[in-house]
Amino acid sequence: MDMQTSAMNLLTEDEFEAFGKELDAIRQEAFDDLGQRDADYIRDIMRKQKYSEIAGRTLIHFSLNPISWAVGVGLLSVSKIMENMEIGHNVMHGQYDWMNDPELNSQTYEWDNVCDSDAWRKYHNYEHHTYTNILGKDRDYGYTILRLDENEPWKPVHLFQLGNYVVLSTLFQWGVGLFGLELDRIRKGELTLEEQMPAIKKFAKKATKQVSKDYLLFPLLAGPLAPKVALGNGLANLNRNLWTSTIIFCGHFTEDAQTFSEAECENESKGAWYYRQLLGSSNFTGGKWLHIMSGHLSYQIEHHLFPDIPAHRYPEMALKVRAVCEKYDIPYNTGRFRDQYKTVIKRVARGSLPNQQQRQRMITRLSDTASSITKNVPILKNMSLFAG
Amino acid sequence: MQSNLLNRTNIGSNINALLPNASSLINLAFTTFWAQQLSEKLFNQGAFKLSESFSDIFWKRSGALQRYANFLLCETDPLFNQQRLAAQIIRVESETTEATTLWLRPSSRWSGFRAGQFITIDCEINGVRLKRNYSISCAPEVFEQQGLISITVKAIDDGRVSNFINDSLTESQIVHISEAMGSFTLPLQADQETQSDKEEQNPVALDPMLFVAAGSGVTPIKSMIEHYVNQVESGYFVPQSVQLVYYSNTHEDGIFIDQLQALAERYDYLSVVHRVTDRDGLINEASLKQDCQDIDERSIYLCGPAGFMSAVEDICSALNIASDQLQMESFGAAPTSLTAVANLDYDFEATPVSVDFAFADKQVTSSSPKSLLELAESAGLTPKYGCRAGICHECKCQRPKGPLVNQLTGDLIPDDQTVVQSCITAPIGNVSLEQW
Repeated sequence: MDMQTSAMNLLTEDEFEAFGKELDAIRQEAFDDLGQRDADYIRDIMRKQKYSEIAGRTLIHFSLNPISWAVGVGLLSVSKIMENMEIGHNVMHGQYDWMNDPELNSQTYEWDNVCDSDAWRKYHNYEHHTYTNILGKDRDYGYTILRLDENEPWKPVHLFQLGNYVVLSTLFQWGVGLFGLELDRIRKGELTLEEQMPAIKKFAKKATKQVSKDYLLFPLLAGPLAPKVALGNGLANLNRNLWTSTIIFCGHFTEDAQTFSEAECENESKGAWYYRQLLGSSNFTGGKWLHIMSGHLSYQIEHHLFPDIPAHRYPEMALKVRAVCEKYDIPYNTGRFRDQYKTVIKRVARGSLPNQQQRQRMITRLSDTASSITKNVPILKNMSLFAG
Repeated sequence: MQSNLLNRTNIGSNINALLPNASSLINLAFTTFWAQQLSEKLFNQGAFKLSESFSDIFWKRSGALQRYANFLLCETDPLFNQQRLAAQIIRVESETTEATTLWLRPSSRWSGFRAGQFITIDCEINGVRLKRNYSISCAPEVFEQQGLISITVKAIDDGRVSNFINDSLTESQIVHISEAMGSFTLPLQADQETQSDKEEQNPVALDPMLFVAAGSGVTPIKSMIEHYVNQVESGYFVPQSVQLVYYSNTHEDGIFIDQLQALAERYDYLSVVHRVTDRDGLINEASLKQDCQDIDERSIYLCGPAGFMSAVEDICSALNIASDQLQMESFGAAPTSLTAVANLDYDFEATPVSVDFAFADKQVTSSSPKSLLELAESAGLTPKYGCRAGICHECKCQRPKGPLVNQLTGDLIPDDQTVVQSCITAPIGNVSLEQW
């Protein structure tokens, strides 16, 4: 897909307005219908998550053989994924604030990973969801480490980005936590270390709490069997990291997910904002539990259009969104999980090499340097005569 | 209440269901912990002093263990909830066509109440948790002897919670409650001395009392009168003249009036006057003076709708009754209905809105529609915010008191919503914020 033309000019202003109104209406219809069904849904998920966590930890603790231990690790992984994805992420978006339940309050919820919730709310809910896929404004686009758009400047470090991607996935919760500290902005001089000190302290506190829970408290409760508990917890964290990173990369980094420049998004209307969310996100298909385990980020498009509507509503809203997309002839990026993920890997790989222009420019620069050297060094001048 | 209702659920079988095959595996610490938790529940708190202090230390903290433990306790029986006070509905009785009494069994952690106090009931209505305060309508002795309390709720027009309680709550359901609150009670010494002087048999003499109530305002007063009678019967109070003047719209609307009149027939010191507004008109100085000649010699307890209370207050000041002789309990106004005014037109220029940021001692007015966030910033405050477009929820603040509108939808914000997105919420009138 050609990313040079501004995607934002494809609809007229009137069309944008009508398009925005149709999506507003979809949101309003869902919002007006919120009620017991949604409350029962999230409580049921929380109940299943807690049983799975308790059962997982109990099995890791009291397992008599490797199989029951492995089952325990699996259950704990499942519970951590459910808590981070379908509960934590969605609750912190304010999807359940209308319930007036302090346990489900977006502003006070603290999730089970090392990223401090306040930092997450700022950089995810505000920055990423407002400036989605605007290069230079949405730090989530490549997490300041990966080069995922060919128009971004290429550096030699990007040659290793497939490896970096694997490392990032493995340590994903630490990436997510550190990302909130905006160390890249400190390095660029946009922020001072002093300004970020409170955030750094909060992160340190949260990380300490998480590490002591999984690697001190629960292992110590097992006495001499501490190592197997610590190992089990570590594996569960790893599984959660790999899974969440895979799901999240499928949301905006698939082949056809578009990026935008700051200039084309200036003074954008609500309709244009919706439009950008649509083009910048991608869905994947699958069964009910794939959607639950992905926190319904499999409906990334609907999530970006309606971030504060309970996520389990996205499947029914998606039908209406697709109809609107067809009406306005707007591409709706979806496909099988496996296929979408393949295009993510392709995109990461492609980003590790410079694009054609950049290659051209580098070759020109290299040959310029070479010719200036040959001109200025006498021996080489003679050698070039041979070569000639 | 029936004694079989007081039995706890069968805990043993539930625990077996929770932890299949676990008995051979559970290590000592875990078993001890659960044994302590459950024995405490079974034998009432206090039977095991050691476990109680352990439990205190444990529940004061919050963490993963507490979360698991509370979850499993709630799954066993919601009344075991250690983080919220729960109560089970034992019986629902209809008092009048519009008023219902709920008999509740609070969890064993609930501390009890003094006659006249109220509790906050927390109901989930169509997924939304809503809280309302209701006075306890039974005497504290009922709770002491049977572990039950009652609240009596009159359905009001558009009252979401009162209608829900009247129409939808049924026996054995769980609601959440608060500890008892409020200072609308008999003098404190009456309770303290009945406790400490029980052995000495030294009865307390309270002043003669006049209770003035209207509508469901009789609920705390019924509790106080029954408590008084019980205490006199037990010899802890010296009987003094106690009178109730009660107003209801029609004869049938009178709540508890038959029970209270029956009490008055049994005890000479108690008299009850029931006035019906449809027949006798509204309360006035002459009628009150006629119903209670020695009103200026009595402690007065007043409870009812706002208009009724202010009328009685005016009568009392006209009769030169000292303000410390008068105790009152007011009922909150009914919440505004969401659907009543949608997409309303508000003329900001004709009636500028004002916001009192009481927590920072700052006030601003505006003659154009502005969001709470913009108004806070114009007052020199620097609240946290993000997208300023209603997307990210970073700017959430406590719901200020006063009329507010959602700028995106034009809907009024309900009074019982606890937080609002300040960047898309505009005041349409005078509002005040105690905290951001």
